[in-house]
Amino acid sequence: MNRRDFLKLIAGLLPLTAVTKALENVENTESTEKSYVMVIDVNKCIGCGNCVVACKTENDVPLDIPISRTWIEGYSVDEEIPVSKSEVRKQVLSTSKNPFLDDDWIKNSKDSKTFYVPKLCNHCVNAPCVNVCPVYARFYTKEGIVLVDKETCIGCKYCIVACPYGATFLHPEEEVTDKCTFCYHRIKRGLQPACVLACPTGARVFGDINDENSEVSKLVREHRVSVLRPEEGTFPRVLYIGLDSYVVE
Amino acid sequence: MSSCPNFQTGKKRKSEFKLVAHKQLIKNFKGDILKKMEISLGLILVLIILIGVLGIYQMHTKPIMGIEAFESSISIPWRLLVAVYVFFVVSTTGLCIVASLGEVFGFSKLEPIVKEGLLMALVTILVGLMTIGLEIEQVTRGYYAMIGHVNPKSVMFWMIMFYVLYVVFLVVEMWFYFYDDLLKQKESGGLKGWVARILTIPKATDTKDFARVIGFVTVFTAVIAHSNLGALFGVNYLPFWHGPLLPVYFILSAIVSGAALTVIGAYFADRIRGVRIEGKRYEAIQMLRLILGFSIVVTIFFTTWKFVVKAYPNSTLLSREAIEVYLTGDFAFNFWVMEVIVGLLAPLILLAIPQIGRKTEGVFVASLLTIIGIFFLRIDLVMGGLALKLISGTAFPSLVFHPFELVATAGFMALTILLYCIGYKLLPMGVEG
Amino acid sequence: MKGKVIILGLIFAVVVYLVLFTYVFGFSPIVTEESQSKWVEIELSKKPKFSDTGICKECHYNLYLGMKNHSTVNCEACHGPGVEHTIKRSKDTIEINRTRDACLRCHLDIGGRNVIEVVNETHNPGILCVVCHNPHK
Repeated sequence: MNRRDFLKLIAGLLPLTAVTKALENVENTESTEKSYVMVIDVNKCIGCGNCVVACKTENDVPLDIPISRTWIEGYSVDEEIPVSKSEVRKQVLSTSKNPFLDDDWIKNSKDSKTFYVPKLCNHCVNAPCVNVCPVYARFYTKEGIVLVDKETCIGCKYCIVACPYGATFLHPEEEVTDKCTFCYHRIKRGLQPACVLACPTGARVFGDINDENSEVSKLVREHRVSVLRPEEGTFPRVLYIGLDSYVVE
Repeated sequence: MSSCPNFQTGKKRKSEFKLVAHKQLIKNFKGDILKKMEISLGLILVLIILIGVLGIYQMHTKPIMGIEAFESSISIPWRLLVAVYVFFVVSTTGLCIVASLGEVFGFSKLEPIVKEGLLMALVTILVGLMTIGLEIEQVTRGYYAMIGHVNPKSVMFWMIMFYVLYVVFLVVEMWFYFYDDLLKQKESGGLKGWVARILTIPKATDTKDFARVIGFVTVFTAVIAHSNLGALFGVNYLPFWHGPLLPVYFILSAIVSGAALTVIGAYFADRIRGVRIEGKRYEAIQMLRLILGFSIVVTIFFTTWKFVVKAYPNSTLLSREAIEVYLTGDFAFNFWVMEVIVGLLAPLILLAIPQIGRKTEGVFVASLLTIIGIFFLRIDLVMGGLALKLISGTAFPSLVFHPFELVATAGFMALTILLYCIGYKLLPMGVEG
Repeated sequence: MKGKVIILGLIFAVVVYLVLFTYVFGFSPIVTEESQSKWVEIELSKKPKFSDTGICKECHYNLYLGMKNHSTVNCEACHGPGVEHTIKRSKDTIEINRTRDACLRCHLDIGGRNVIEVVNETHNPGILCVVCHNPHK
């Protein structure tokens, strides 16, 4: 075998070892507590819907039903002051079909103020879904992520009623409630959540806010961030840059 | 005249004998018809229950009818069955409160209807727990909410716990209250005698006094449990539900439905047995008329102010949008026609007019209208409050009912009536006949 | 009413309340703790379907030479989940979508796409984008 073939063999083995190592190596408990946060830059979202498809593929949610762990709300606004007279058109992307490519959306959005807001479970610090679950099927992990214990959930749907963001839903096949877990099985292996990976413009950034050098910390230092529905007192972990407070529901 | 006494009395005796025989014939005939009515009623109820069971089976396993036609209804969390559960639970609390007014708090005029009230309270809470047990997705894990996995911060857990305690106390209270009459029933033959003999195996004394004490604890537990149900809605962020008003409103609504249902139960039972309502029972129903009328007035007061304050320009935008759903939106027919006119105004007018109110039939019709209105009020409260909620960005469609939910509801109502009739037959309800 | 009856009745009520409360509060924190840690284990044992940002470069480094515009886009955004492909390394385990729709999904000029290059539908309709444009350049 010549040197070229040998190098090709080594190059081929490397990704296999890297991937297997990444898959097997689950992070052990760290000495400093992590606190995970996601920062979404609305200015960068182009409404392509890759995140929705990636999330559904990664987490076994049926692709074609209009409920999803993460979704995109597209707003096309003809703003008029006073604001009560504005015309707001809203369209939701939560399946593999992208409604923003339809003719009526294209026609309406070309000349109006248009932006796309990706939404997902906010993993609130004071989560209403954790407070109301009668069987304690929702709980906080040490990093602040809210998980759903599907073996305990009895399907009473009180969490769906209580969530102000509409982030949780009833999984039609598993018949328990389900929601975004920040891809817990990925982040504990040092990977990024599926939606962050799939975003082509880098609108979603995920990381540890307690680490000063992480990208989320830099973004929070440099930009003005806001949250959805601050008046509910849920203290969410998903921060937005560039949110329009008049329009977004 | 004294010279021919036997001739006169002989004739009298013959005509008396004919009259007595005639009355006996009519009684037998009526008895026959009543029996036929009872059997056919029982059969119809069993049929409806079977269809209801089929509906529930379909809902949970979805073998035949696909969900596509009603796909939008999957994403609505609380639908018709939760409204039916709230209806049953409100009824049971109200029945317990009204019955305990007669038994525990010494409204002696209500004594004749206490037994019907207690029996109906037991039947409705059992069917109510069955309803919610079949509404949650994982039916086999329903007991988790009571044993083991418990979240003390959750209002729903406290509600479930207090309702289970309430069932325990209600059964004990009923056992004490019926004890003396069960002793008397031991001699009668058939199923009635068997039930009486089994239930009187433990010996007890001072049963009426014990019934009063336990009755106090029962109504205390019922009020706490019911206001927990109100708080379950009240702690949510949804603008139609949010706030401290709902627990109080639920108790008030319970009194209305309790009084109405007691009238319906007593009237129904007496009609089936072919007995006219008079005397003490008539007085009891007139007292219920007073209670019902008064609580309907208070409910109108509450409802008016609730809607006016929420619709006022100063209240939050979300509140105004939520109220608009009821005033001019999808729930407008439900609200204006069923809830306000049929449920509140018409019964009040019927009860207030003396010519109608003094007749038992009038009070019965008013109670029936109230109960229909209250049923629609439950649907409005649960589904109307959720009308503007978003899940995954999309809002709910307007009022959508899955056909199997409707079938299941009919089944549960039929089950209540059937259990009430069976209970009426087996337990000593006081008036013989 | 006799005092004895009142006391007995109230004691019965208090006992029933206490029994249920202690059973529920004493027993349950243990059960919930156990159940939650078990679920964390189950959650962590799920296998990822998408792999990682730098992994594709290890084999396909030649595709990255000279990549300008799409260098910030992750490979799996267009090519789908890649973990199976890193193990089996066959062509049928990775998606290669050469249709016009795959490109227009991001590049169609609807409103709100100020951060990327957009193109109208009237631009060479019916012809595949890859005929003229190479996404890996």
